[in-house]
Formats: sequence, C-alpha cells, structure tokens
Amino acid sequence: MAWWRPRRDRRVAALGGLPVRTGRRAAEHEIVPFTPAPLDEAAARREIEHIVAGLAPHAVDEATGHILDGLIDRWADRWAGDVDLQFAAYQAGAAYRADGAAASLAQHHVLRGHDQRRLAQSEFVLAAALADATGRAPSTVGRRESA
Amino acid sequence: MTDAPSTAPQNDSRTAGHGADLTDGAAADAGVYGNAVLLAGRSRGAYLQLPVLLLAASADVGAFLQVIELVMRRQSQRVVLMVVVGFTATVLCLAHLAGSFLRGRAVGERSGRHLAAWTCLAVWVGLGLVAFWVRLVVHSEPLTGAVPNFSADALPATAAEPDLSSVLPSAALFLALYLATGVVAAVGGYLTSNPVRAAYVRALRAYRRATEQAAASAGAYTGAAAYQRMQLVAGQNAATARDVEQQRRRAFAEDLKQYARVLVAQRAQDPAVTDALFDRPGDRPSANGSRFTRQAPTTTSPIPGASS
Repeated sequence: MAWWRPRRDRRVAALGGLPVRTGRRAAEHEIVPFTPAPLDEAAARREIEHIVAGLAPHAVDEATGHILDGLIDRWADRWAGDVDLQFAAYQAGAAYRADGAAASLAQHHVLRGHDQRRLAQSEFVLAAALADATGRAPSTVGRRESA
Repeated sequence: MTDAPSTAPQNDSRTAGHGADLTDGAAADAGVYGNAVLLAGRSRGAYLQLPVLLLAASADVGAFLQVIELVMRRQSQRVVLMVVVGFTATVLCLAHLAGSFLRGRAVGERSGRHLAAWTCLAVWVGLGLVAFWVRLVVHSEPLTGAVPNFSADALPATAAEPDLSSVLPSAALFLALYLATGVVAAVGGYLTSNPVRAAYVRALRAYRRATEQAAASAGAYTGAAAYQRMQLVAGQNAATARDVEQQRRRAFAEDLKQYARVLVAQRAQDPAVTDALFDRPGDRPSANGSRFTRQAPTTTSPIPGASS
C-alpha cells in the first residue's frame, strides 16, 4: 500500500510532527560543512609591501628589523577571531539541524514501534487463522512435528 | 515447516483476546472446514466456474432482455439494459449466496446461515417465476392503453389472452436457462465456499502488508539514525576545520613576517642587518606562537671549521 505512507506522512505533519522521510530520501538530508571565508592573502602581502616601501632605506638596523611582527601578530589574532565568529554562526545552524535529526529519529522510533506491534498482532492473527485452517491448536502450528 | 513466529502465543490462543473472538464463529467448524491441503489454493476446476458463470450471465442478459422489454417498452434502451444487468447480477448473486450458505449449513455452521440460505433461495425462485410468468402472459405487440412500466396497474393493462402454444416453448426455455445458470452459481458457491480458508487468506494478506510496513519503517528509522550520526560527525568535522583554519592563518602570519623581513633586508642592502633578521637552525619558537624569535647571536659560525 504505497499510498498509505504519504497519508500517514500528512497526518503526522498535520499534528505538528516532521514530514516522515524514508529510505533514500532520509539519506539525502543536507549536510552543511563548515567552510570559513577565505583569507585574502594577496591583499595582506600587498599591505606589507606598502608598509615596507614607506620605510626609509636605512631606517631599520639589526635591532629593529622585526618591527612588523607585532602588527602581523595582531592581524593573525583578528583572522583567528574571524574564524571563531564564523564557527559560532555555523554552530547555530548545526545545532538546529542536529536537534531536527534527533526529533526525526524520535518520531521514526514511535512509528517503527507502532508498525512492529502491528506486525506482531498480524503474526498472532495469522497463527490463529492457520490453526483454524489446519484444525490444530495455534501453539502447534508451524512447529516441527516430533518424531 | 519453519519455526513459529516469535510473537505467536505459546499457549492456546482460544482462551483469551483475539483468539477467543476468532473461535466463536467460523473457527468452531474448523474440524469440518479445516484442511491443510486447502492452504495450497483452489483447484483449477474452481476457477473454471468463473468463465462458465460469465457465459451464463451473458445468456441470462439475453433472456432477461426479452422479458424486461415486454414490460418497459417505452423506456430507453439504456434504462432497459441497466435493469437487465442489475436483474442478472441479483439473481446470480442470490444463487451464489444460497450455495455458500447451504455449504455452511451442511458443515454445521451457526449464525443464521440456515435462514439466510432459504431466504436467498426463495427470492431467487420468486424472481424466476415472476419473469417466467411475464414471459408467458405478456405479448410483445403494443396494446391500446398499455403503460409499459413496473407500476401496479401496468401489467394487467398489457396482458392479453396469450397463445400458450406459441409462447410456452420460449418461456419454458427461459425458465430452463434461469434454473441452469442459478444452479451453476449455487453449486459454485457451495463448492468454493470456505470461510476458514478465506479468513486465513485475509490474515496472510494483512501479515504481508504489516511486514512491508514494518520493513519500511525500520528502514526509515535507520535512515534517520544515520542522518543524526552524520550531523554529529559534521559537527566534529566543523570543529576540526576551525582548528585547522586557525593554524593555517597563524602559519600564514609567520610566513608574512618572513616576507616582511625579506623586504626590509632588500631595502637595507646591509649583510649585518640581513643576518640579524633571519633565523637559523636552533632558534626556538616563542611562547606566543611565533616560530621565529631572535636569540642572542651565536659565536659559532654556521660554516663548519670557520670561526666568527
């Protein structure tokens, strides 16, 4: 009864549940990787070149040759902070998707339990019907005949 | 035979629940109906009655058409055909049900099948007699003042003095055909009726549907669980990607420092400055993550065998 599942989907969704996705559709859920915005390394190099070009030819000696290290360290801190900010923004969506996955799993758990109980009941009914059709008690239906 | 389903009751199910309901009616006659061979399906002869019944029904349609046209001469052909088809289905169904109920009666079933069987037979015989009487006494020629419908005063108006020698053979043939098709339907119903087997087929069909549904929901549940695991792994991968990106940016910052030193050295055009700016093997990384921290100049020349 292929039409049954869409109907149940609609009923569950109408009650506030999630649309039930099955089989391949469930495996095609969206997985969003964390992709931070790329760093403009060329612009950073150009900035360094611009700064160094502004220095006088003999303005740097052995003791002051690392005058840009502090500046570049601040840049690195800012770049790392940018990554943290982007990751925090990503985590909001990731947490939403993870909670949605947990909710979908819980819903499927309930539906699966219902279907398994229904299967157990139908097995019981089938055993009783088989017993009636063969004229034997249900407890002996399907059992191997003892020698 | 295979092992019984794990959920099948281990005790006698006729003592409680659905089992008790099942055994109240048809199951009580399982000793008569019950035959494991019947589970293999009906014989081919049982299916042979279907085309025979269809042919008999077509013959009935032809016979009933003549009868109905006698009393519905002013109705459209479509209405006449609808009445004929409905009449045919009704009498065949009555005969079939009578056969089924008589079979149940023969095997000792309760639940009013006796009364139902005789009721069906009585109605079937009555319909046949009425049709036979109409075929016998109603002329096909239009009569003055005739009102060809089912109204109570219509039939006496259309009736005329019948010439029995001319209409009796055709009416008798109609009656014989009616009886023959009815007997075919009744015997078919009698021989093929087995409520216990029908219940087993229904249970088997329900079990197949429940199995398919349970399989589908199990697959959906596993898919949902896989999706949740994928989300967890994606979260872990995202944290790793964040760490890697930060390390990559720190490394780029160190490269940028080296690049700045190269530019400074190029502008200074002084070997002493150049030597002081760049690192040599043995330089230790700084505590703040900088890989290249100047140390005090060593007194050992990097060139083996040379002194500074």
